[in-house]
Amino acid sequence: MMSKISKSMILIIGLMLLYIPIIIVCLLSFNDSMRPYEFNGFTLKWYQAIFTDKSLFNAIINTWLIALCAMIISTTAGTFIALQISKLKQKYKPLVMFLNNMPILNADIVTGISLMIIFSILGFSFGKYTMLLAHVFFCTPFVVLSILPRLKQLDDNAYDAARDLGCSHFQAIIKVIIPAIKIGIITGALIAFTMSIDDFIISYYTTGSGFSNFSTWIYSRLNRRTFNPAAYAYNTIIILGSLLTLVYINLNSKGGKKIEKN
Amino acid sequence: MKKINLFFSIIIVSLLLVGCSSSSSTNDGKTLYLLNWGDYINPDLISKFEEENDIKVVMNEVESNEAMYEQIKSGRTKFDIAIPSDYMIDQLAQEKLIIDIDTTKIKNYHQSDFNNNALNIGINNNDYIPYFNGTLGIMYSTKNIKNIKELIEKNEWKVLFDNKIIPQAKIGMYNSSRDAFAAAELMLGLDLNTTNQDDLNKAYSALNKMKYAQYGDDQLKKNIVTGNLDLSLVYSGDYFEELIVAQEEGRPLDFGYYAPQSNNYWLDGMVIPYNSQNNELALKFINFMLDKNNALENARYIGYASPLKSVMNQLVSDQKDPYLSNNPYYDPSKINNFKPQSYKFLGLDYMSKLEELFTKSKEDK
Amino acid sequence: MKTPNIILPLYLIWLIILVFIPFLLMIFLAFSHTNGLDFSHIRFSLINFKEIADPIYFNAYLNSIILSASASLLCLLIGYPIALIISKIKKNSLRNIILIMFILPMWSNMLIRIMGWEILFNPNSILNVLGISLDLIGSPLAIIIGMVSTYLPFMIFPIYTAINKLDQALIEASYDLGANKRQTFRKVILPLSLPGIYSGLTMVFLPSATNFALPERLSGGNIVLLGNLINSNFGKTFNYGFGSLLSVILITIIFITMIFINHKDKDGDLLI
Repeated sequence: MMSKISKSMILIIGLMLLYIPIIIVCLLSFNDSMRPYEFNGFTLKWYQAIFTDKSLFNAIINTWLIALCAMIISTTAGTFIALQISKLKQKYKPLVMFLNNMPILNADIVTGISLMIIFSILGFSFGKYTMLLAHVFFCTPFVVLSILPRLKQLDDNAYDAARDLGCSHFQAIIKVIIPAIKIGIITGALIAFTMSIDDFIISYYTTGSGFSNFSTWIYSRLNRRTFNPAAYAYNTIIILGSLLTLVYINLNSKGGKKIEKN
Repeated sequence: MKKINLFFSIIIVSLLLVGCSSSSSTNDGKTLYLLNWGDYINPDLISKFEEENDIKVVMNEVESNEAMYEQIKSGRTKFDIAIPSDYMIDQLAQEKLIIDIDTTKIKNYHQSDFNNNALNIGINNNDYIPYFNGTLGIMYSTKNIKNIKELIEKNEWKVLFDNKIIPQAKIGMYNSSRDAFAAAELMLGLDLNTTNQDDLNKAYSALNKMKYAQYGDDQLKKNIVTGNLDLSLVYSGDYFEELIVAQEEGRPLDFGYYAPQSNNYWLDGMVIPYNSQNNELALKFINFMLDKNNALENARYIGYASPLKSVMNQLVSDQKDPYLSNNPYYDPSKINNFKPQSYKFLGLDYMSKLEELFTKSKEDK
Repeated sequence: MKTPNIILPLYLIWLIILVFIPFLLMIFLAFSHTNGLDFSHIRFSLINFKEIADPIYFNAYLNSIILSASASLLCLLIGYPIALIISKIKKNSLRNIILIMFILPMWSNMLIRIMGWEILFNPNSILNVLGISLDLIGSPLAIIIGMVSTYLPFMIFPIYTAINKLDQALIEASYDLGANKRQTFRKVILPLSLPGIYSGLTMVFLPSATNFALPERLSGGNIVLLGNLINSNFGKTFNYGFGSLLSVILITIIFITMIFINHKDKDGDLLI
């Protein structure tokens, strides 16, 4: 229906919209000048500065720690929650799914403010734990959502068969069900990680006591002297690093098939 | 079963991981929580204070007095020190959100060290310790418009409220209702603390009929320097800070500053919020910042004028930063024929009304 | 399974505490005149309803709707063909690489991407080297480009999933029955990918209208959207009542959308 040219045109437009800002930031990460409108010469000093700017480095470590922990907790919890939901009677399911989907569809700013209000009323001291709690809160529904379809495809008798063959309840889950929904779990974990590492608005409302992740670090330093172009360098490393990893995995034929199969 | 245990141990380990992550949020008397403006303290001084006392300083930066009020009142972080401006100090004191500072415990505090303006802003001197003072002014770029300096000096505040004076100019305005209205009131020759409806309407229509290229805070000074804006309302220190940066980098000075004589005098002071967990450390910090050498170092880095007379005298006498000390607008206590007015706290209702009028002035075009 | 499991009830309680109790509190705050979360001086008032109807905010509502709707529509116009093209690529490795190309930007920080556009849209930018000076800061176009760039993947993926789920046999049947490519697309593919489109539209529209950092950076403070309004009421003017009322209205809209989506997409698997 579409000619080859118009097909590649639309792909290029889409990719340009996504990549132009990333390319700009990549260029700036090699720019010797701190000012974004002039190019003074090539430098790698900002890459070094990632490690020497203590506050930026801390923010990056915090981002990764929060994302890893939120991913682990929400994936673990989400797997068991999904198992339970799949066994629910059909008439309760829509209500539970409605509750589960609420944080996904809710606007970030409303989620952030809701959490801020409830954490304040509960008397929590704001900082890393409130931020982690918030991240677990918005990551778990994604994990549940990505596992449920896999569970639906699962043969209902698989669990019973495992029990008949002498497995305990937990053994049956671990040995039969978890491997069957592995791809759903991995997808869920990846989504959780991606959501957490890129989050700004919810983190902004639920942090305190000077605890900042990469996003809140940037936001508090926009246009200020304390902003360090090392942030551009870090972003470039992330993009190039993940591009190379993903392409490598994909070109590796075995990996390619694995993704394809599911 | 084993794997279940494994999962839960993973959760516990990950919680511990977060627990020992780099930034500590426990209050064990080893952390000072500082609520500050952006670019408003020399980072070297923070490191020095941390080392001297073997503690950590955790700083939050905000862009307006209102945001500072929100941060203190909400209590999400229990700050030990905040640095709001005059009228906000007044408001915080009236709402009992700050405590009296026991100046007898601060070795470096001597009332006679401060300039007169800093101590006479109509607030109890035990509520705050002066940190920096300054004025409002107009910062401009000479990149695009050659005679901009003459036009600004001739028309003063009017250039911010008439697109026709410099037709091709891109003008910036502070995205803060109090400062934007103050500029309009200064242009109209009104009292900065007027609550008269007619006066406010006049100021409102002055703001309303203008087309500003940008409403912002810290980006205004940056955009003047890059030439993305031609002129803007700024606080005095915004200009001097950029001046320091340009001097350090050895750049040509293609931007300037003008402070009209009929002006606002503002003072930012250190206060101790009511829920401070670490009063003693807060007093130590105030003492540290009042130390002449530290205050000097801070002033040289930030570009605002210190209310400490000895610091200003030293800047003039050692001439290490002549572009600061020789600038006629640097020290508010030395501007010729200076007719300063300070902001006063006029009540929460006034504040929200001003905010509403300001929003309206931006939107109703 | 017989073993009683407490994790689901716990999860539901957790969701109720973190979603519904704040929602109820916001409704309560919307009907009161208060300063922050100060419950000691709280009093019943309809002042927030008066404020919300104040014409000065109409621009913000209108801006939010117009700009986010244009961005969503643009995302659809660009995203649908892309999803279709990707789904038709036969070679697995190529398809995966192109998919990855569209996922990857989400791993770059959102604020950094917005900064990238901001730098580009300023009159004095790195583009001056090429003799180009865009002067877009403050224009609606800048905001729409920013929104499309930030949220395009959220349009592509639900549609891609929906198209991928299509039974290939249906398409072949359509051809067998004599339909040409255009007819097959109109009568088979498009209607069956509608759930993907709906969920894509919500996934783009809502975040666009409520992101406060994006308009802040790209509009030069000249364009205020719903997100900025809510943010300034909570963060700046401490007017929790008005901010809550706006949030409650937003949640209500989201509720309605959710019921609609639940109706169209029973599994909910198009949300990711």
